[in-house]
Amino acid sequence: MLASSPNTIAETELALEHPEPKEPGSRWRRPRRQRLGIGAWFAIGWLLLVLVGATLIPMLMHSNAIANAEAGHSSQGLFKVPGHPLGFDRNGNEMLLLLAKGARSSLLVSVGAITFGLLVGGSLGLIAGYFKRGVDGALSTFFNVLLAIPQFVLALSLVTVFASTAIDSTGNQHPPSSGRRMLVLIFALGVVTIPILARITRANTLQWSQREFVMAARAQGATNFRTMVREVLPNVLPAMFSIALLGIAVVVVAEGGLSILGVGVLSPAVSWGSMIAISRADLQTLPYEVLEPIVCIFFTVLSLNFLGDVVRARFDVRESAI
Amino acid sequence: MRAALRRVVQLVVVLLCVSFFSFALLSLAPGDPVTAIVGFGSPAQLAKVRHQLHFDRPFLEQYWSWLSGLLHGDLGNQYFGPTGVQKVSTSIGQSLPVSLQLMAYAMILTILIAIPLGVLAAYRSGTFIDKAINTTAFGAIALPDFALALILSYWVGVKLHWLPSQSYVHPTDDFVQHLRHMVLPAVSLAVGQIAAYMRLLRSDMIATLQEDFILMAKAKGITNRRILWRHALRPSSLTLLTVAGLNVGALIGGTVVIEVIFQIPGMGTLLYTAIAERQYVMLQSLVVVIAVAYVLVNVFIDILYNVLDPRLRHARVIT
Amino acid sequence: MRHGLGSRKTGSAVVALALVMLMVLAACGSSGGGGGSTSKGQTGAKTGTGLDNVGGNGIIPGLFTETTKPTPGGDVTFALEAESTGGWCLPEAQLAISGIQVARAIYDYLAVPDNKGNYVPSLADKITSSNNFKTWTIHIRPGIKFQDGSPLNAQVVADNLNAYRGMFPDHTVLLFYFVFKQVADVKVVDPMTVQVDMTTPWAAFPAHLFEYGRLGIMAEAQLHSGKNCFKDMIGTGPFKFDGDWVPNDHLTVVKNPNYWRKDSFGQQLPYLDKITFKPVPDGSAMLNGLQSKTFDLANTDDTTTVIPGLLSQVPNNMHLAVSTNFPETGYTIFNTQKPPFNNILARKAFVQAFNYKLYSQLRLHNLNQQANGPFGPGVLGYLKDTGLPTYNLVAAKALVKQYEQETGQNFAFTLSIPNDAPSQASAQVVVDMMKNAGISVSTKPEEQSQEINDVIKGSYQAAAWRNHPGFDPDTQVIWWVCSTAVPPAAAPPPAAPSTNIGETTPDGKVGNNCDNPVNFTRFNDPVINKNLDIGRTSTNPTVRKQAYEAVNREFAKQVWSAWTNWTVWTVPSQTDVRGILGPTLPTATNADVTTDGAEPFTGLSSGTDVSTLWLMH
Repeated sequence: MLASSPNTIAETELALEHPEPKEPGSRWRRPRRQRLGIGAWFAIGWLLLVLVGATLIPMLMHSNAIANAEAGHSSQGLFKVPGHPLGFDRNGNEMLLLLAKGARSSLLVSVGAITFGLLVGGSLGLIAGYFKRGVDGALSTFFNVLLAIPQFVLALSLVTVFASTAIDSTGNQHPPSSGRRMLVLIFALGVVTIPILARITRANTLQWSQREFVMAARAQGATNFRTMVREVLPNVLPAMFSIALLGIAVVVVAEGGLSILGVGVLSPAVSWGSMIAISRADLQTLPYEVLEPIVCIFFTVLSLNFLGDVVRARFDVRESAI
Repeated sequence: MRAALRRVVQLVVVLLCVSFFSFALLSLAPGDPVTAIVGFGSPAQLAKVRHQLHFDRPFLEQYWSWLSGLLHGDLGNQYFGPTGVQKVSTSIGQSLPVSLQLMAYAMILTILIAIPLGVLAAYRSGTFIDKAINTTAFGAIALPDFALALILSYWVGVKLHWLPSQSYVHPTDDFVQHLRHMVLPAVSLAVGQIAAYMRLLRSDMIATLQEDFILMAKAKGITNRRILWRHALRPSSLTLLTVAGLNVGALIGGTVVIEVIFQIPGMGTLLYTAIAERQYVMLQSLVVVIAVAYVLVNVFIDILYNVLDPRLRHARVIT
Repeated sequence: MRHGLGSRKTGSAVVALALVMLMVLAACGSSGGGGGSTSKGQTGAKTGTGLDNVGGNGIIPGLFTETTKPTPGGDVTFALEAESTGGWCLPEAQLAISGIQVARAIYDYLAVPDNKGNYVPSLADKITSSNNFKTWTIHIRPGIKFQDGSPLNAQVVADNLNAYRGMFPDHTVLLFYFVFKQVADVKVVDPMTVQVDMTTPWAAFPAHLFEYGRLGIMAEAQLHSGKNCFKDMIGTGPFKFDGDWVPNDHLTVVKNPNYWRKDSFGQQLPYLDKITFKPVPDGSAMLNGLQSKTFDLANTDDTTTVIPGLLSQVPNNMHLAVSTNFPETGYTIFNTQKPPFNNILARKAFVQAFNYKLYSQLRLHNLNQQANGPFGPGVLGYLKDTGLPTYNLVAAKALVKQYEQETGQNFAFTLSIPNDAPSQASAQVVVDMMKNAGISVSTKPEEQSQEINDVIKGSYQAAAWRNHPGFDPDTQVIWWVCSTAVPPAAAPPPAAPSTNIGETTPDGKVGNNCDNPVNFTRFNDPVINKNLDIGRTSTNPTVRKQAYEAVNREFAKQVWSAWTNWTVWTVPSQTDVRGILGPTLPTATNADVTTDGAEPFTGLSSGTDVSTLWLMH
């Protein structure tokens, strides 16, 4: 989970690299002439598979759990039923369909959260790094406050407060709708990533805004906003993209942790984490129910981490923790 | 001296903000907090509890009385039905040591395994051993700690019966059993950490090993082993320390889920219970206690960092 | 690149890692498969479920009074399915079986059931009534002391009974107030005799002196301990509470050296030194704990996870005391005062859309018998066929259409369920079954006490429920009766009258206007009211049997509740634990365990008497 927060490790790891001097004024560095290795292709392939599967399978596959159960397919695991290699769960749901639906929710939540975090955190970091001094001080204190609460505990509290109960028109308490919970998950996990994304953006912005071409643009009369967006931002983007990939992986795992504590996605939505949480009681008799989503999470995180590293290497990105 | 004073002021500001934030956050929870806490009772009973908990007062006044209570060690109450009451500080007093033990064991395992592995991988950089360690670490990071926990608790705990797969034994009751019960949870937490720290140490040491002073040491005839452990490791350990601070937060998060999976009565289980039972008062106090502990740990690490790195001892710390 | 990760060599290592993972998955994942389980063992009562060949109801060695001399000493860990967060201030506590099991270790009762369902005096030695059943006399057994040394006498018993009635200061009761509504007065006649006067005849009163194990007798000190009543537990029972309670973690009780019973060998009861109760709501955790021998025994009815996991090890590596007689009933409770279940078409449609056989196969491992009423096998009023509609998808669909035509509404409702993962998965099956019939269901997972609150307040449409443990049917009256004779002091305002569309009874339209707030289903059925009254006031077994059978049939005819299955309460235990069901009951003249005493109740839905638990070495 967040235990090996690649973001924080990545930050520090790359602080150690010695950067090579860049040509001034370049928006994009010339990519190295290096073919992608087999690992990168595997990672890209897996992620594409997940994306395509998540989009198409729920649309195209129609599987009625009761009908499957009546046909005797329930609790039939890997390779037990011809034509359905991933098996069926205890209630008769087709595992492939569950995994695809799970991919939808897991990706929706993680990409949504990181996008939210990038938009807010990235902007704040850009502003802090560009304007420095007072603004930077205030924003940094804000980031420190957010960072002072352990990430997972903060996310947990946010979800509990905003999406554990809803009050309906007659004043009765009841659990929130599945959609609302998903929105709150995106919001909560996004908020948690804001300080880290902000700091990385800030560090990169600090470094880039010292460069001559930025000063040149300002000397030519460009406004601060224009300079920030047109000169600094494009150079900061590769770092943010790399961190975004790593961050998506972290959020996928975090959602899993939240599901085990009962505050993940709500039925009828399914996520890989909620599949693990629900099937964990049957681990002894139907281990594949738990192992299949674990494998999906594993490969997704592996691929995202790998690609994040590749992006970093390619663009020779430098990120500092200081 | 001025720098230290500034840090202290900053610390107090952060702590105040954190406490206000936690309080405000949980006050936003929908629904009548009294019925959430007390369940059902007569309107008179509910009104009495509402008055006791100051829920009938304006927001800032509530915050102030809560904060002053907090500073006096009154962390509020946990409610059982209309009349049952237990102090949260008692529950925390019982659970915090358990969580601290678990995290300590995980950290000890991490240090004992990650450092030698990192040094080995850096020393043998580029060889098969290095590749093997690095790849395994990369894979280990991708496996969530709760997934590893489930796998271990099933295979090692139930199938093989080698170690207990749940619950907790107090160290004073039976130290051996205490350790046996902690092995699987600590290992689940540690594996991801080991991988991350190992990779970090490795890349850091590879950089350090290319520095001139290492070459100088080798020229002086110092053995490889001494170079590795006494000369190269020291600067690299600072990086580890920096990351350790940030990672304690992640460790805390991991502990919450691991405790629930292994049924260990620590702060994580307490948190889980507070959420499930909608005990918002208890939740507020728990979040604040965890945040304060976390901030203090980071301060401690900062101090340690300053002490260990002579370059920083006399320089201004830039934040 | 210093890391070397972007290089081809490490990339291929990652792929190799991936292949290894896939192989591991294939190896692990292919174990486990279809449901169902077989077990060897002696034959027992035939229920048609997988538990038929498991020992139970007295077949497991050491279940009843011992023939071997038990060895005292030892500790056990007893796993329970939930924590009793409300504590044990008995008049106010809403105890479920987990709480009742703890209570039975610390407290005793004025009367307890025997294996025939009769109520035998326990803390009392004689319970008699006047011919019209309006005056009951309870004579207290002499020489018994509470765990704090205070004596058991008529005054303390009267105070207890008044506390349960809600007539004792500082105790606000809900349930028992309505249970004991017709008690007019409780008075102390002499130091060891209490007299209870009723407003109307109550032949089945002794059953309520046990009330599923909720009516423990507390010491004066606990009755007067105000805010601490929920944890300052003091009773006369075999174990005493020394304050070691960490909620949601454990509660310890230690041997009461002055317990008032000895065994048939003259040894002081209880045998054990200590019992540690552990609440374990997570089914897989309870299963793990039993398999890894962390728990010595447990109390569970979980046929979804726990019991199926243990069956393969019974009887050689684990014992399983099973009670399929006198079961509790699991069902879907309807709020018949609100749409859609105020309409009998909707209730019938639900029952006919519910494929019990499929549900039992998927979620219960075929271990539970289907219920057709609130009275299970062995309980007075049980019928093999009550006339409850059976599964018929075609008929269900037709009823749904009819309902929608007549009311102009879509048939949709919210089902309240407990919020643990297995319950949610089970509810998903129900949702899918209803969908097949054209009924749209959304689930509302809630923490158990929240669900109970909602049902009490009436803010629910349907809920997953469990009630009616198999004691005397008179103890179920409180859940079903409506009457107009209400004492003025605490009458809640009557509900607005409404009538059900569809069936009528010979007496006219069936309607609500029920004054009993503990009738959660909120129906007001004159047939049921009449027959419950007959059962309460008669002592003729045939008359009572017919009355309760009539109640059973009326339930089925009006489909007031969707009876699902009969629970199977079990006590799994390690093979060295003996004496699980408890000792023979005391007689009028002898408090100790003797062969003259009646045999204890074999239903496990209210826990067991733990005074005779012992460890065989």
